[in-house]
Amino acid sequence: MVSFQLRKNHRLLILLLMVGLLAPVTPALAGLELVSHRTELDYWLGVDGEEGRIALSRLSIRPEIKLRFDQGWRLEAAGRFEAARDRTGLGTVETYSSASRPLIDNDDVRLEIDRLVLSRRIGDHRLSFGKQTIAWGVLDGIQITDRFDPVRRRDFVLTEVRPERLARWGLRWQREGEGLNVDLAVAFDPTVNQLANAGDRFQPLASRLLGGLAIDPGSADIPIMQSERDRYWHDATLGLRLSRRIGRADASLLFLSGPDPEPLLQLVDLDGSQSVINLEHPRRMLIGGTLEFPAGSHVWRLELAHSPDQAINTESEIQLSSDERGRTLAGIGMDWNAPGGWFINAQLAVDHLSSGSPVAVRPRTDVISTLRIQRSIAQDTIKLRSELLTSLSDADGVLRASMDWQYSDPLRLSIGADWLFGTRDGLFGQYQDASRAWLRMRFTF
Amino acid sequence: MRNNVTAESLLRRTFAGGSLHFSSHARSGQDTLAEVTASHPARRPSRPLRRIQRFPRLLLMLLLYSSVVAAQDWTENAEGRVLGQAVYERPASIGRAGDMHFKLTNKRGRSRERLAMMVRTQDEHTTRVAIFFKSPAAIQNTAFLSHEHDHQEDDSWLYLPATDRVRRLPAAERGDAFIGSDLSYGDIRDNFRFPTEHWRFRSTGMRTKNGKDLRVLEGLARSEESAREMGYGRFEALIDEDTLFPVEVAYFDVYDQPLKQTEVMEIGRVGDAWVALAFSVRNLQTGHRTDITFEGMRAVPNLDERVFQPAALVDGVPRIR
Repeated sequence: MVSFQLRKNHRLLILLLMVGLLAPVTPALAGLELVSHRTELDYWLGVDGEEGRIALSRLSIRPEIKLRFDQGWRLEAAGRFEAARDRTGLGTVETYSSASRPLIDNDDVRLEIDRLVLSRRIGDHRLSFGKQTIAWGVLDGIQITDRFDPVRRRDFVLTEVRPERLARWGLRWQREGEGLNVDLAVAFDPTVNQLANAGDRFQPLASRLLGGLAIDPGSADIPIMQSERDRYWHDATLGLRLSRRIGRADASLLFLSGPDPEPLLQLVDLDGSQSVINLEHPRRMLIGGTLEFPAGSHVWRLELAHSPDQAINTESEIQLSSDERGRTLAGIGMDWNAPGGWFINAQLAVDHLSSGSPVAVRPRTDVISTLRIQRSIAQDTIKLRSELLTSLSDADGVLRASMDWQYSDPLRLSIGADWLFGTRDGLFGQYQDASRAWLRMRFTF
Repeated sequence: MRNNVTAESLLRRTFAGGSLHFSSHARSGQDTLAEVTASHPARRPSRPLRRIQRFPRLLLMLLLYSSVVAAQDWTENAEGRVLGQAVYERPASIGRAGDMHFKLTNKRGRSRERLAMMVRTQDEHTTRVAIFFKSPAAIQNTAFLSHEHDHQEDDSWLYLPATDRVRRLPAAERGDAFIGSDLSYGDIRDNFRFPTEHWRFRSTGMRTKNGKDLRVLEGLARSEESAREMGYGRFEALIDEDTLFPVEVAYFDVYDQPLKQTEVMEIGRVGDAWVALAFSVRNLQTGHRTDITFEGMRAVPNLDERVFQPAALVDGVPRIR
């Protein structure tokens, strides 16, 4: 009850702040113009690959609106209503700050503010305030420098667009124009990655994600708790990205400091008699850079990032011990407009920890590759797509195939299958029983 | 000389596109025998089947013969060269903007519609085009930007709202279809001009259409590479000499088969330039058709440069006054 009251107060405070910030817009209201509005109805049905049971049955309604005022003011708002009764679930909300939590939240139904951004452009400068996402990085779905936003993991990585970003409350200043572009963002919102709930289909199972513990998903010997996500100042995320064009290439450098959206597991003794596993999100710093350049029918993308203070769980006699290591991530990707109308995207990424003792629970080096092949036919009304995501270090992966049919302008039908393979302790193999076939219907108006 | 190059290229293309039987017959000796045996072990096809197999061979030979004859007969003339050059150098507006309405109709008569704002500017060496989709809702706020350079590869970007990111695109082939329409990227870029580096021209007299005398301008791809890049080997156009604007263009593919029929229904003066305000493109091989009309097309000489920056795609449809 107390926490509910607290959440209500936080939301009220933010609402009042938004209203306060809207005050300067009042003189510009005369120029109010509707830029766009739309609503997407999305029903996604998945069937278990082995047992043929319903694994996923989720209805989403996502309305959004963009308004423009005089003097460079803009307002963008988007909501998300979701209802599900399945074994995939809607994901955790404990990982959200109180200010970002869903307005309606129960086991099967949720209503969230997806985005609420007020911005003003003055010349080459733009200032944005509100619940927003900060999409950095140039690779597709592989997060090397794209680590400002927390993401949804309730569907693991089996979504159409990766990553599925979670918007957070914050401020952003951008300078865009000729020469050096500057993007400075602060999120005063400690929301971290949304995970699958305990017992749901994509609950983390591999011991590398559980601090080295082998937890039976059915057991609840040691309760798992999320660390407090309401320290808005202490757990704020700060990011700065500088970018510029060099010849035909686009290059950027970035700096990031904030809580790691991926959890570190800590054993906490509550009162001497009971222990709990706490999901902590210690601060870490990250510096990185990106480079993107076209070369004929190809576009090449490179990313490099280093975190000197990455907290990790280590192997030790003491359960869930932890330490800090240097973590270096590097990735290369290529888009290719191949002959015959084929489009190919291939990526390779390496995630490496510096040496140290005791050793990390996760492998020192992870190597991930992705390969996507797609082609549109029948005047772009049918899109065929096949994708292979693999962990070369764990020797596991997922093969995804889908077909999209734009039946009419508002109605899009999709069918597909996701086949997960590998060992129980691998990144992908942990979900080897979660292979599925699915059907999706989207109606946009 | 050029004729021979094109004729030779047509010859090579036709052979390359032929069936296994055709290429097998073109060769001789053990390899050919082994190849044929491997694909048709032991059994000789039945008589009706042999007839069917002979048919594509005859068709290909006929096509080849007509293509070669057409290419060899083709002679550039001075009148055509002057007219082609004049059409190519037709004045372009410094900047213009307007709403672009696409109607895409398939051969069964089923149609889809798109509405987008198009903003275009052109300087000496670069044409920049930004397209911001307004409807249907499913692609609303999707935006495409291209910087087309005369002397280097083009640059293009796409913003998909779902990804939150402006994505750099690999260079498209000129002949690739533009966003599911019957126009190619090259058509969008050329804007009813015929680039002189790709085409040779001849004029073959006058023709009357809707009571107006129009000059017939024909073009032949300068080389096999040009033809492959454009997706067109030849065209026949009717040119209004008052505006230097094509009223009708028939394109032929690299095998000299009718490919597209473009008809310009309305042109208008925007700034110093004539632009097409309503036109249709019919793909004669697929039966698909694209009708395009522009509304509110106007000259905007001092277009804000920011509209053509990739980062501006995120803002959606710009406010242009």
